[in-house]
Amino acid sequence: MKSLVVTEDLAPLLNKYDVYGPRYTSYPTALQFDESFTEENYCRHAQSSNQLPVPKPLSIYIHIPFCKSLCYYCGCNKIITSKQQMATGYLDYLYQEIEMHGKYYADDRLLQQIHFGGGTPTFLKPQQLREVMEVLAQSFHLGLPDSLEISIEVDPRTVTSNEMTELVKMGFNRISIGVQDFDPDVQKAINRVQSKAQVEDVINSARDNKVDSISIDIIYGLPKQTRASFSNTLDEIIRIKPDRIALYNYAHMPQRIPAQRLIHATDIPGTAEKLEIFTDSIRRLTEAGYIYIGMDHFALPTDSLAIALETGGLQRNFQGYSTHAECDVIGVGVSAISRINDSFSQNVTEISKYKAAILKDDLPIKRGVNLTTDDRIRADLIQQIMCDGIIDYSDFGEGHDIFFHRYFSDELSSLDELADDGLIEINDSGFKVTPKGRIFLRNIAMKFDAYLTQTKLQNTEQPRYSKTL
Amino acid sequence: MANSNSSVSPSFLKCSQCSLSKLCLPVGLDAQDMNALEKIIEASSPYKENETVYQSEDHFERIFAVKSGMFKTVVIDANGNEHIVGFHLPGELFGLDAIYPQKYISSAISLGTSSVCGINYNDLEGLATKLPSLQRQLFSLMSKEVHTSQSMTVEHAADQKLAGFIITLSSRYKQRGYSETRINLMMPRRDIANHLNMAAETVSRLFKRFQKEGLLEIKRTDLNIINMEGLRQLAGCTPSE
Repeated sequence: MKSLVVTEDLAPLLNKYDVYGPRYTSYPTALQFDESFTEENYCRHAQSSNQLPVPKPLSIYIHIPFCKSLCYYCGCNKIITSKQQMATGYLDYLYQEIEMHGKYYADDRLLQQIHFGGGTPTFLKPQQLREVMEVLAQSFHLGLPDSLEISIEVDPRTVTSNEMTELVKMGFNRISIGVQDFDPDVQKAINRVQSKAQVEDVINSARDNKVDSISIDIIYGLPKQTRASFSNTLDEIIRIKPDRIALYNYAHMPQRIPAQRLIHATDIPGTAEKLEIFTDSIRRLTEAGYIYIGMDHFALPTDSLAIALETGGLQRNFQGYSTHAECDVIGVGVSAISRINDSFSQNVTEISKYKAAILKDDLPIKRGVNLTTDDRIRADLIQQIMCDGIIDYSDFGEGHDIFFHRYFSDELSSLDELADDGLIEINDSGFKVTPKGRIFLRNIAMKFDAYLTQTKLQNTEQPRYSKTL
Repeated sequence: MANSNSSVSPSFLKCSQCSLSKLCLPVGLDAQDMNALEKIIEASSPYKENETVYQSEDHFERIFAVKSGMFKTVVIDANGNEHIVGFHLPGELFGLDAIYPQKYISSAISLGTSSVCGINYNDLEGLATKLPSLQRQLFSLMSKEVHTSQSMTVEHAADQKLAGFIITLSSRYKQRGYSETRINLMMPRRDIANHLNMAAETVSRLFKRFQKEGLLEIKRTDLNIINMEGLRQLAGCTPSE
């Protein structure tokens, strides 16, 4: 697939397709999760997943909800505290949850991926992270070192370079660093002040210790951001040259995310400028040699994501894009989401309820969904759109025992507009997403989402999803 | 005994309208004979996953023909261990081993949603004495069962057993008008392992090896045979078999 080269003014398309929509880190999305889903359902899916002819490898997501200070833009499940003992109390329960999950899975199912997210996972000291790793090793069979992916989201304000060295030596081989923006005014407006030196110290010590991959998160659309100020941030990012860059969109939804009420609406760049910042970013990063993977992700051509995009091994999961063969995902900790067999399930978000469930020896599951056959077909199709971007009607139909044209007749007739706008190319045997279309993957995928009726999605409605761009 | 007495709408019972009539008991019957056979057949409503059709030691009355889905028959050995003696596909009979002892030797359990036709054996025996082609087909199906259980008794290497198992399934599905290369492995891997007398881990390890060797591909429970000849060789089949 050819990478995106921006040669035209994208503004008209960006304006046209700027609607509210899911990010499709799961299908069905969390809105379809239901509280009738219980531990029994989870257990049944775990057992079925063990009984496939070739069970999938396992992946675990560990949610550490604590942060030392509040970033005003953040919509994650988190608890602001400076008390380190909060973490100690939480970990005791987390370990029990890990042990409970471990008992459900067959011995020959290797744990291939471990991901720490938050909140701020580096709220935990390296010694505590080591303890978590030990509990994982006791409860699961870990994959071999060269195929085991251990990743962590790093807040450079909470990690010294010595601690970073310790983490890499412990086995962490992928780090993603929250930078958001280097501009001091923007940093003040979002209450996340961190120097370039702090960021570079962490990155240098990770590189010195031969970490496999470094990713940097940046956000466009933040308060006080201008085209010029973000251009400076991009200069720095390009100079630092991480393997991957995630360029997220700031979605201002103060009615849903209370912390965002601390952001002055007047400080937020207008729609036109925000789209300019976005197109500038795409242009600058691709000119600097980054391959546009899709959605918010960029990667150097040597990075496994870019190679997977080229060779067709790209996957999408809760953390965005990945190159790993499809795993069953166990989510532990408050609010964590699991994807096991044909189900999604999510843990309770409150620590008190989390601890209460575990004290009773129950998994702290709050809600979930059993996938229907239709869900599975659409989930596979949306995954294929978001990843390879190539749909062959007869291949897909054969793989799912459907006649594609009949099954998706309404959806197919709605694709012409996307084709007219150059986002996809349609021929007799299928359609494929164009390089430009990768900016609009959510809009393309939405055509195949059975839970969306277009009427519910107009901008006038109370938004349930963030904007697509 | 779950479900076995529930009746289903009459059209469901008609062998003449069943797509499996060319494999099942009615082979070679004319319309009138078929009609006589239909009268002694009783269809059950579908079984859900893991429901029991009959249990070992139950009094023998009927043999069963699979109408849809799949059933397994299980015996318990002297040490109390379960052993899966067979998986039964649409158009295949089970319960035949009960004819001599007049009680079921094995237990029959559904895999996934499945349905059967039950046939009263006394009635069938009576009818078979009047209808030579029914008798011929009954003997032929019984002989097939004997053949299958004999070939199971020979000890082979694990990879050979698994390859043989896939080849056999493939040819049984082919006979039924299904694809011979795309097979839905709806049985749990522990059942395959138990049937072939190996560990569940071995089943998965071998499947992964077969995938690496380009013999087949597996996605979830869908098995796609890529190199049928290679698989046959591994199973020790002669090319023409």
